[in-house]
Amino acid sequence: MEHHGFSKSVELFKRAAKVIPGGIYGPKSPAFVIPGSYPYYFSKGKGCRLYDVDGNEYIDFMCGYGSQILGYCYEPVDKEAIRQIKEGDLLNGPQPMMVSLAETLVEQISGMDWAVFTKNGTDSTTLAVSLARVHTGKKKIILAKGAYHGSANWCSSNDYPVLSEKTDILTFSYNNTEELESLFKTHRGEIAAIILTPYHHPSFAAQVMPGDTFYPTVERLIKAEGALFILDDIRCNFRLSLEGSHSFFGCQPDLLAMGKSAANGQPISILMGTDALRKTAGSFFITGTFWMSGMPFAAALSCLKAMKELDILSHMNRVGTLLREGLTDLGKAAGFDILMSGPPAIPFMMFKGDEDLYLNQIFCSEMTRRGVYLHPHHNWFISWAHKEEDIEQTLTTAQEAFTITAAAVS
Amino acid sequence: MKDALQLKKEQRIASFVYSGVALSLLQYVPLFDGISAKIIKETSFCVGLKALGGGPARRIIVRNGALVLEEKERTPTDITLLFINPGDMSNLFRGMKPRIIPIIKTFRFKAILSDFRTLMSRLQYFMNPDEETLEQHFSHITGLLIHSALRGVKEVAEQDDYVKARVDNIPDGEIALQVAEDPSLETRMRKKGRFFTILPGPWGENPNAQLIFKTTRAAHDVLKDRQNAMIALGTMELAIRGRISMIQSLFPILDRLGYYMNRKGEG
Repeated sequence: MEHHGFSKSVELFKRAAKVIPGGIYGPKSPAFVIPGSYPYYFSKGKGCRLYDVDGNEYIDFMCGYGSQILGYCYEPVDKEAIRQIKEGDLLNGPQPMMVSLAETLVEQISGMDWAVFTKNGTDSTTLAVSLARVHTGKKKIILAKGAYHGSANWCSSNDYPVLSEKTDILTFSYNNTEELESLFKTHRGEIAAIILTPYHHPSFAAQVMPGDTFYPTVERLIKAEGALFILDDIRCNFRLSLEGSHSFFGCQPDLLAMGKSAANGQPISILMGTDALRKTAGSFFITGTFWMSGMPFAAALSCLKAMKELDILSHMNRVGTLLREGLTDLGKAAGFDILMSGPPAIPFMMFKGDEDLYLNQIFCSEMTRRGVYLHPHHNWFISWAHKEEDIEQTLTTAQEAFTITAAAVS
Repeated sequence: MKDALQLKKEQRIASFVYSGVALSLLQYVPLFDGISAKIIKETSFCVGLKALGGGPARRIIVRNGALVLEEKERTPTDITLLFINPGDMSNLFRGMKPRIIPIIKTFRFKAILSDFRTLMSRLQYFMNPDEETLEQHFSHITGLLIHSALRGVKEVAEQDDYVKARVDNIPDGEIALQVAEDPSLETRMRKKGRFFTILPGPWGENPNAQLIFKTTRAAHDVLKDRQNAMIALGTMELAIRGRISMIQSLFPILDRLGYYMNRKGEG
């Protein structure tokens, strides 16, 4: 595949730098990847293929940071979204699809009795934390070290003392039940909720699945404390289970934040809850100008339907397994001990003994320069649009990238 | 409005930053500046600098042709410059007139003070160079800036609670600042807990994280705040490798360092 360089990306970035602080903010910033090997700006996507502004094509394993669960421009969903835009997207009040979507979700998602809709994951997790505090009358929130729950001040890396929102945030090491027990003991009577991702997926590190005793311990502790369990299912959403990731792990949250992939990339996130929290949620002031726009509801209804009909979980698990097994074998053949972490549909690869990620940075850069977009520091995503032949092409490229990585080490 | 207590606290931290950066840089100037080299070759002395009100106490020792910064009050001083508050100590390094009580223990005090002033003025000369000096000593001046940034990070990280959470987020390990076109400028720093140590070379293993400037010019421009580091990353004048999270957490500390370095005079 011919590589066209990144001159247009860099030019755009230079223009951006003059009018946008930092050029590109957040995890899409050049600082999060390897400049020189990764594009900054993209022009289009179709299926699992992504195109940058310089005309380079990629098999994309980021899927718009997880949102494109059916692939870019999945036609039935887009058709519904466009139909709704033509009917009017944002009106004076909600459209009927809002009710239909809530009904669909309540029926589909295990143990959840109501739904409210927001735009981004941060909206949902922040609303969940507020509801938990109001409902319990307590302030403290527990979360795992290194876990990402959004960009709001209570949970982001903006650790400035003048932002007082972090005062009541307590942290523990994921899977460390002793540490968790100790937090509950020390702060007895003060804890409003624990917020967890279904499994631990920090950036710059391997993903960690919950230990056998983890969720039972969480559920026992919150029950004893009279606290709530918030599951932040934003990133894993529908890649572990179509009934909510908690059903995959056999636990039951009180509040469930979802989003990213619910409408195949259209802007919607969801907070669901149990009956016990319905009254609190009903009396809490919740709004946003765009939170009731119709297009994402239409897209979400279509996306949920497609996910069921296509049996996307079996597909993503199958191609995800092909990818992880293929990379493990190829890495081994090149002399590396490969660590694949996370579930098949949300994989991440590291080289054992390379905690600083030097080898990941070489390998993923070489892959991306050769047309397979793999992030060196963030977990990857599989979608319905990734087919066996895409994985085959990825593995062919990986063979070359492993050889180059091995040469760099030697 | 910040309250008086907070202002006092910041004044104290600024004195650590200014004195830490300037006095540690003094060690490097004689390596390329003939005037400074001549002084440290021909004389020996120990000058103490101490700020009342919780400020730093540091000593400059010139002996056997070398200049060393002593962080603790161990070596007996020939003269101690006692500042009546931390703000006055900062003013010294900003080229302003501080209020000092000199505690003199030698009849050579005039000569020692004169030598110390000359060393300080040579540092100022290289840190604020004219075009000609900058061209002539570009690499050395950039080296001073690299060291100044790391030393500044150390002072802010260890003294300022404002960045405590940021410091806690940085995993323990070694960070290298490198200039691709001039390997001699490499400088490393080790972080352990809340403490940072600037490591003298030569170094062995790969650092945990690398901040690599493509050119000496790029290093100079970023460290002089003429170019934003994030923009330099995007335009590939700067690269980061290894445990990138270590470096990302450094940027807010560097911002805070800028806050202290840009403070106006205080007393």
